[in-house]
Amino acid sequence: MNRTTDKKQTIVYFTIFVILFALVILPIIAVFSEAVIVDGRFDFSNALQTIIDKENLTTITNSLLLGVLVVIVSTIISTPLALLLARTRYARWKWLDVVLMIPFMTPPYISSMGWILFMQKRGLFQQLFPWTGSISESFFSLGGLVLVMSFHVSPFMTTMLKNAILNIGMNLEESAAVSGAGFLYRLRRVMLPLLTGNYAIAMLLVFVKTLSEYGTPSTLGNRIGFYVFTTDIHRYASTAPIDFGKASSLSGVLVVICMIMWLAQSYTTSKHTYNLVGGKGKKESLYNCRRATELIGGIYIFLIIAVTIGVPYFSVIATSLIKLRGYGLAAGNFTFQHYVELFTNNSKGWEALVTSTFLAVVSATIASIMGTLIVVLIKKAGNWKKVIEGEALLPEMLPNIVLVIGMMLFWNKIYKLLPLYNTLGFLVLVYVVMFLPYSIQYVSSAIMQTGDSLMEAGKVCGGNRSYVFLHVTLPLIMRGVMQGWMMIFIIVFRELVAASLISPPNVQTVSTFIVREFEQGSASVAMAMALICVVITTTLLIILNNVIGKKKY
Amino acid sequence: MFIDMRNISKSYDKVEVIKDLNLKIEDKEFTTLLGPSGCGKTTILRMIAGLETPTAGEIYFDDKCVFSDKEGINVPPEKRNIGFVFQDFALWPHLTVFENVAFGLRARRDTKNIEERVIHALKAVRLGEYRDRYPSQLSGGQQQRVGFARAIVTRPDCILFDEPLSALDAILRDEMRVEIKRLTAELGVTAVFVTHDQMEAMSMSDRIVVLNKGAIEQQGKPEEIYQRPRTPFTAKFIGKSNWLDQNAMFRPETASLEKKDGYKVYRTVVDGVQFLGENYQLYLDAGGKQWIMESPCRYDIGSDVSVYINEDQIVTF
Repeated sequence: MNRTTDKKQTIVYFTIFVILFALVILPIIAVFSEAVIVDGRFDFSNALQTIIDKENLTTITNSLLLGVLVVIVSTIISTPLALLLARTRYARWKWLDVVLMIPFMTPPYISSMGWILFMQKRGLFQQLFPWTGSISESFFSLGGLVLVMSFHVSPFMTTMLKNAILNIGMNLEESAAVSGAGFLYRLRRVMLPLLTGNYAIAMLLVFVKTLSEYGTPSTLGNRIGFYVFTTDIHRYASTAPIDFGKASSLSGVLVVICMIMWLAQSYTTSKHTYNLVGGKGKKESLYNCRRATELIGGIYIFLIIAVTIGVPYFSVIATSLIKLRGYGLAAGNFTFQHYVELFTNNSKGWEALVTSTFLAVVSATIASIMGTLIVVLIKKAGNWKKVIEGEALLPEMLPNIVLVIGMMLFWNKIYKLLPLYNTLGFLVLVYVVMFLPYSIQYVSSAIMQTGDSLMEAGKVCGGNRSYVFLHVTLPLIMRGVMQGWMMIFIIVFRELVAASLISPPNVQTVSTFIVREFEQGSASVAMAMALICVVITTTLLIILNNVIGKKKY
Repeated sequence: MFIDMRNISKSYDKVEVIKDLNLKIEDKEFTTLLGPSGCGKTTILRMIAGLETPTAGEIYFDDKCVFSDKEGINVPPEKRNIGFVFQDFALWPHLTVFENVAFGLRARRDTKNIEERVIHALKAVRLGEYRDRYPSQLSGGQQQRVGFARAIVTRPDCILFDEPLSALDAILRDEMRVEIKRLTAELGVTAVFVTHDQMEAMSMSDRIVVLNKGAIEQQGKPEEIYQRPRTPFTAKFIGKSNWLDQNAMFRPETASLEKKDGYKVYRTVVDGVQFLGENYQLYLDAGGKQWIMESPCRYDIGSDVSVYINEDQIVTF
């Protein structure tokens, strides 16, 4: 490029930078300044006081304790699963990969409600096994919370570990075996050392996810009086007496912890993972297992599915079909009435579905267009690219609740300038910022897969910038764009944190509808909606995999 | 069309990969840029195409300036009217063979007789029947031919080839060599061909430009370059060379294992033998230097061999 185009490029980069700065960075600054600026002056004592306040200290230690426990439990659950799915005959059952992802794809607040309905006093468990007495109620404890959260994140960990194991390739193990190493020795001297980095990364990510999670703590955690960062921030920001200073101080601490974890994560990725991708395509490589070992493995997989999917879904479905909760699971006590209610005498349900669909479609579309444009425009941007990507991807590293608080504070401050706050439009904006990283990641990876030479070929064949973009680049990355769109749609459709904090008055989304009905005792209606929500998103996910996911070229 | 590159330099992040290059590519000639990887040959080609911007210098197509850092001229690739054949073919996977070839015409809104012209180009590369296939349904050689059809359909003044054969297997490579040479000759275009394969360069070129570390080592006809290399680098990079000392070498085929009058004799010991099919390749220890000679029969390792060298054929630097 000569100088004039250089200048033009710089203007484009700078514009993107400024827009993202306003959308992402300023809200984060707003959080910190709200915490430390009191009456226009820096005052750290307030923030410090909030943090060392006894109640908040408990919150902080609670969160950390919960994070550590979930990491431990999900590691214990995931390790055998990953090995089974990577190295035994179960590796051939591809559908297992999909099924085992279900708990991760289920909104945490829905599965928590399922667990609550299952385990509570006179719940489904006690109805099914009356002789167990009140034993199931011991579920309402830290242990139960840890289990439910671990069930949710362990598919994520399993997938990471499984891919890491697959990456190791059988040849490294085979060469160890030929050198005389038995299974356990190989595990100890070859597999585990090669996997340390992956383990560390997976554990850090699980830790961050747990700390950022709101759904389960807000349903199950609040019920047992176990308060963590997210629930306290939410409480300070939404329940009288509202105190944004305290919400911000806690958010600040949460952000700092998460950022440290992310830094540790990226450090580990660069230092402790091995580049194991060889030139040769890897053949399928399985262990020769004894029958008994395989059988035990199969039972383990079955148990995991039964507990992590079977229980919550059984109780969601059963509850949504029960006529009168008092009679419980009894012949004649089943009805579709709650589903009908959703759409008829309870028009709020229908409205919530429409609102959520609207939010999901609009946010996904805007975020996808923005993401695509950003990725394409900054492709050759050198240092600008790093900066802009950093900005755009930041929301993914932040706990959603912090981003929401930041945007609330910031857009509240500029309300006179741009009266967006308290409208549905603001909710759209928050979702766009929150999920822009998804679009960027999908589109980036699509663009990485299309070599530069395809675009260069377009240029030397006489196509100008926009012609090449429309006829070459866009068709080639369309799959990535659509995948990103679908993911954003699915997640926005049932998102809880932002919806519960910033929905305009009298507007309900699917998630806030479910939570409210559940809390007001209409568990059956709530669960009917939950099931509809899961069915809609799952159908989309299947479409995503089958229609868009198939590579045409 | 001739191409004239004057005082061209190119740096990436302050590393200068091309330094003050002056290169003239003659009209309707087949010129090969030959050199080891990292010598800058692809960069030169991409600067001609406009895909890379030189840091300094000027490029002329005939009398038309397409790049000049002083004048601030930089004609974008889409306006340079050139054909480019990519190493990885760079066929658009979402378009059929026909649409791949038609792309350049459509992009220029030059759609008159488009059907006929595209089919003509496809027939020239013998792919007339494959018009509705997608690139993924073609073999590597066929894909390369589509890439070639795409490059010629717009009747460019010049076609640039960026190691087009390196992704093909040995047999296809031989076939495509002949085909590319035939087609460029038929079309009467200027061709610039980049390769690191000396055999490719020797067999196809009217003119070879040997490059090393971003600078021209030597240019000339293939025979000239082979028989009279001007630098030790050229001698080593092209063909086999046996060295008498640091500054004197001879080509193996100019020497003989049988006694010849007027030839100087050297005593060597056999280090290794390789059977190549048509003959044996001997690795000889000539007083600490390794020589290669071809021989019709096998020698035992460790046996003494006399090499007779025609002193007229020794190249000194």
